[in-house]
Amino acid sequence: MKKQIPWSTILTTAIPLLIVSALIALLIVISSGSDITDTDPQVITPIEFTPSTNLADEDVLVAENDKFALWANLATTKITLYQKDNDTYFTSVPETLEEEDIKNSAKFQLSSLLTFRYSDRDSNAYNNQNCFAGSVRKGDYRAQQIENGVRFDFYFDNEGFLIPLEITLTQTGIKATVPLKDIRERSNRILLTGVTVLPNFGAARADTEGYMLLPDGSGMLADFSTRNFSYSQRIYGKDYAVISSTSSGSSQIARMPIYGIKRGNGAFLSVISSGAARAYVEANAPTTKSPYATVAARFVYREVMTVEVSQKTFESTQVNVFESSPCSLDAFTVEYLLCEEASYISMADSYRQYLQEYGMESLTEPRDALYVDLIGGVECQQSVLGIPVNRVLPVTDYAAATQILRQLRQAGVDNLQVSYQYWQQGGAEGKLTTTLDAEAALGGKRGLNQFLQYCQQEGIPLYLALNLTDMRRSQPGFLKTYAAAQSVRSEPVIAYDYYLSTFQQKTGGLPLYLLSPAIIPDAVEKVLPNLDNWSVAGYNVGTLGNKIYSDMGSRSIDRGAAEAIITTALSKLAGQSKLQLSAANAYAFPYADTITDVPLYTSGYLIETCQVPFYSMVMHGMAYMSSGDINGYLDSEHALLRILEAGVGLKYAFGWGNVAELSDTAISEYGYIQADRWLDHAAQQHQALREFLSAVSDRTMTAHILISKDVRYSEFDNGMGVYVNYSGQDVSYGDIVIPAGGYVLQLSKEGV
Amino acid sequence: MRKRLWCGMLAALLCIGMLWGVITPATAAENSSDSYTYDAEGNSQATPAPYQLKTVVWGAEAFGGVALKNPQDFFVDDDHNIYILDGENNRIVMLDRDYRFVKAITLSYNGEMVDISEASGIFVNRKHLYVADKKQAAVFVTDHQGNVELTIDAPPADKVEQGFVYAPSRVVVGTDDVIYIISANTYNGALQYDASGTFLGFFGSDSVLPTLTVRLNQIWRKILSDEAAAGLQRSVPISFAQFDIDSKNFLYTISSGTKTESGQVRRVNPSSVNVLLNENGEVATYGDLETWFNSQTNLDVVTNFIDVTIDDLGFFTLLDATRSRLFQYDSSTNLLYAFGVKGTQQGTFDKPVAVENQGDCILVLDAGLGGIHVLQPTVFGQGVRTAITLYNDGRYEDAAEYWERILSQDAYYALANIGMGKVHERTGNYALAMQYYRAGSDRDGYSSAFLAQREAFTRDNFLLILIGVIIMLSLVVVYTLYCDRHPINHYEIRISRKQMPLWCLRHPFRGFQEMRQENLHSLGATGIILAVWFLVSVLSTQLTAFHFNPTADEDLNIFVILAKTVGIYALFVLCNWAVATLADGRGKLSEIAAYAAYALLPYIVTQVALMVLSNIFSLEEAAFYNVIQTVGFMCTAAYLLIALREVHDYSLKTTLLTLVGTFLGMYFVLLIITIVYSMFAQLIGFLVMLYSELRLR
Repeated sequence: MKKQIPWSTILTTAIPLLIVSALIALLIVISSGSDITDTDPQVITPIEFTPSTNLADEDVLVAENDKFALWANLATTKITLYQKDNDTYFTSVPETLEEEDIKNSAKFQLSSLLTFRYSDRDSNAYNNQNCFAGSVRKGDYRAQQIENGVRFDFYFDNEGFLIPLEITLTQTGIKATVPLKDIRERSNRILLTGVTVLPNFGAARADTEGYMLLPDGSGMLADFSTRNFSYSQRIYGKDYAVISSTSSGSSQIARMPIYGIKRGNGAFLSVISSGAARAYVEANAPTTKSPYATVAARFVYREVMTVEVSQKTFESTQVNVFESSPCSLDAFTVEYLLCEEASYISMADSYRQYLQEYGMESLTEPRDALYVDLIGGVECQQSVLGIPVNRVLPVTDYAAATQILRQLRQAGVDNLQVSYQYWQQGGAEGKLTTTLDAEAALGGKRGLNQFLQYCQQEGIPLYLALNLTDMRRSQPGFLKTYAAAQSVRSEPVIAYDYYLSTFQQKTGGLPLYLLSPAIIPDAVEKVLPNLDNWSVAGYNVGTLGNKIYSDMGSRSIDRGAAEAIITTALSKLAGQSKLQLSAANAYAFPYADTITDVPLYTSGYLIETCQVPFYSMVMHGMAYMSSGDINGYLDSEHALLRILEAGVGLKYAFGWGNVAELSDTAISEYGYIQADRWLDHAAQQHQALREFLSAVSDRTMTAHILISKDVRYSEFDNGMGVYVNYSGQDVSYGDIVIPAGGYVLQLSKEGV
Repeated sequence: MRKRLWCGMLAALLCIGMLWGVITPATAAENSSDSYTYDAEGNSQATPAPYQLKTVVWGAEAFGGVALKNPQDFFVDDDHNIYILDGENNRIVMLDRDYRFVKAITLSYNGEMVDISEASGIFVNRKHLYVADKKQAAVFVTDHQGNVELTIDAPPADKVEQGFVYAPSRVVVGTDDVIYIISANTYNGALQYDASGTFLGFFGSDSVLPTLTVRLNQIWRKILSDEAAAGLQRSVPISFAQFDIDSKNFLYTISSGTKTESGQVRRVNPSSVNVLLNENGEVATYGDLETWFNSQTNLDVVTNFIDVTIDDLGFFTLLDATRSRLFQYDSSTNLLYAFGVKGTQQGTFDKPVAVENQGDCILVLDAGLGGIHVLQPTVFGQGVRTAITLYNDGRYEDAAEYWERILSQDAYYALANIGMGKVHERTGNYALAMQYYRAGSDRDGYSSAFLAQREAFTRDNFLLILIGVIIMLSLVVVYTLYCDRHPINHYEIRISRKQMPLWCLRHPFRGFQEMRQENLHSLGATGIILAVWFLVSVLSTQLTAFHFNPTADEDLNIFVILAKTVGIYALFVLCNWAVATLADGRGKLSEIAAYAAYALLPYIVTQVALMVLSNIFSLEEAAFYNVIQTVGFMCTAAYLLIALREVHDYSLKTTLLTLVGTFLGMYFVLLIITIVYSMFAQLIGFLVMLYSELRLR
């Protein structure tokens, strides 16, 4: 019989062949052409610029108010700020610079009002230039007085940039602004990537008495005499959408966009008021080449990422990839708040006043509470009658949650503030909490209502946790691959876990996608009408207050824009419900009723001379605060001292089931929450400290004394204080003996 | 058509792009830790930090006004004083136990300064300082003021093999004043001298075990050309990279080289035998079990130990140069934790070169920083060390308190779970003991608690069990009697299509023969058998008792099970059909499918039996379990043989030959699948790169 070859066979053979040949043809076309980048020719847009002439080399008073006076030397671009009430000066150029025996290049750097960073498209290196060497020295700049200040336009002929800078006097000090719309770039090949404003403002020699305040974690001080190290930290942490090849070591995040300088009897705190999410704080210790300690904010004008691509030769290489468009904000702004006293506690006051001007309110009553995080459930594979099924493993179901709170009550904890994590449908690997559904495996809607009823009866404020950023599954309206933030390659960003041993990314499990900032408002709109479904005290917004990332794909939302979006989202949520935030970044402060997981440690940069609880110092009196999980700290006794020093509430995390079962799940970090091992300890600790901690919960910190590096005293505005001793020896201070690794409470009453 | 295909291709590309993905840094949890240990499956698992930074001693002031310059080694004496070999500054810096500068010692011989700028090893005891200098080929023995009293030179030429080069890099001295020296590139072990500098011989050589590989290499070497032979693994003993000595004069040695292999660290007794073994008497593998293949250098990035230190309790700590990490083991070679990370923050190491104990503290000499990191145990680290010490002394109940505390911080810590299992087993709480053993993945412990529980159960319910057994026996007797009274004439039975599978199970020879004759095979029954097989395989991963179940803690992938059962079956049937077609087999594809499935029945029955029995037997009775397993397997093989012979109408010999052919066929098919798969993966990788380049440029 003659066999007919069916068409389908021909098609199935022919189509793959066609595809492969088409691809090969494409490849040949690509590789036979000259380098691809050459097809993208250089475009030159000339910059129109006329420099000022005949500027007098003398200080001119450009602005004055009842507290300050601002002088500028238009010929050298040096500016001087005079604080009247304590008779101190801060200048943009070190006063003693002329006397230094250092190279001219270092002098130019130290004389500059502005420095910048730029990159060539085709090279992986970045270059630094300062305005003195590149513009002022050549006369290529324009200086003019504006209302309340002075404006400089620096033209850099070699590099092809025009960068303006305005410095104006305010009621609290000065404000330095780079209006981004007025920045010009001549070429599309040489691109501006970063700008540092007033890099040397308040610079000090190593022998000057004073320090820099840096925003790492809880906050830290670096003496001017600190050793040869530099510091650079991104405000609000790294961007999730920027590619890095392996995990970096764990470190704390700078959650407040601030830095400060205390020099002699003068001090200022700088607040990055616009562009914080795109800023680094950078500090340098004095060196022989440049004998001044400096600290300033560097703004990222254009994000640069190194991406690995293959070459014609099939070897991979790293190339620079630039953000498609520069920062979308109007300006980069740093406000320099001059402090009344020269101390970091006064810097905290300045920042608090600044925040209150922007709408934060003072607390009016103390709160006596033990903070508790309950850990709900996590989806994992379980055996049901011998058949493996993926379902939620209850760690603390709704009934167990009641049980834990009841036991705490019995142990004498009258006042609790409870937040319930992973309570929702799907547990820890669930979806975005837009519908606020209860999880059947934890007890379902009825179970949850019973638990909420118990809380209401007992007067326990309960906060249910929301998740509006982390997606492991798709759901209507939020297709995980589509709704996720994208990298510069337009691929959805996945927040990988990393191997502790090799630092390489872990694949397997459900990848974690991050909801694009562009779509966060949609998620918020969906959740808003559901907030009233449950009768709770409020909601814990979780990652929304502490994770910020851009979307570099087609939606193109940079971190500056993301900050605005998240702020709006938080304000909407806060308009409907009380919010609990964990480890909140500064933009979220105004919406927080309570901030949990307040940073109490630093990353330990080598420039650090001393860790201080600056974060809690600022927030004291404006939001209630709690520590991280005490049972989760490496050394809970050490952490307790930190908690007392900062005066924040105690927090524990509890789980009811067999916690050992969590080892291979998405929440394996909770190996410490076994409730029966900690409940009594928590209750006792709460009893011992409640008088002090509740009394200071709504107060401001008025003094923080470093008796030595390891022995500190914190005092609050009601006279209460605490001595803590981190050292291994008993220390006596006056007639008080602070035991090794212990504390002494000063429970004096108000008015004393 | 084309358009749709292109869309599909693009979609596929996009998906693949996602797999390639983007790496994002892990956010740091408050006070998060870099330390981990390995679980029973060899996966790294985070632990709380065992050590925390006490202080960093560095800068010029700390060392008498002169900063350390690339220091290579240091030593902590019995009084906890620290001696740093700061060779490039030609001095030895002495610090007291609180890290205060005491003095700088310069070596002098007859009033002339001795240059030690390239010295690399130091050892100190009450009487002397010992400095090993490779370049000057000497070990200087000095008093505590630095006056050289003795120089240990190369061993006499007649005591060493030709071509021996004396290049002392490290030195340690026993309590009996015997001096041990590592000479670089020596494969004979450490050089041993007496106190007066007389050469005693070589000591502690790594012997070459005559493993199969070594033997094979010897044979290959004879056959191959010289160039090719050079590529073979050289079977020479490995040289020492570093060593330390404990209070009993046992040497702890580290073999040089970066290969991750067992026995890299050895504790050598005076007769050169390695006594560093685990509870089962086996040599352990040290360092990271997870490795990473660096595609740029084409090398696996693995642990490279450069120093070892033993403390008074028998814990030893190893320093890994690859990732600037410390690994601490107990004397039974259990990894307690790995910790430490490279970096320039406090508590991270820049370029660590040596590690020493100072009481409970661990000191790390950092050549990059020019200083010493002092690490002190955290509550967790101290707890682990205390608990293990108590546990090893047999004081299980005392240890329990510490284990509990460890578990409250880290519920997964295996040693603590096992420790608690032991405690509960001894106090008779077997169910709890089993739960702990399971959390600690200790199958032996689990089985022993299980056995104890079974015995307790048997004791308590002896009467019931006895009655049950009697009832069973009487039922058997009754049935036998019944069968005797009603003899069946087997030749008259007609077996229906439905009954055939079970009939074949009971009477394989006759069953398959009848099935062939009457053409009674059923594809429906085949499907059911396969479904049952698949189901039983899934069930046995879940219901087999923990101590008999190596995959109990792994997540089950249903597709893997499907491939292992039905997939292999289908492949077998297809290959057998193909082979039989060439070898004049009579069986049609559907027939082969049915016969092969029927032949699987004994295997399925055994699997069910094993699943049940695993919940009755302990590991002590594993022999029975294994026998049943083997019998079931052989039975199935026999059934398969009978079935195939019948279906193809072959002789036994032909059946066997076609079976071999079938297996070869299966092998080749799998091989081709693998090759196609990897080619496809490469194509995809290439396309992804192409896509990203098109996008980015």
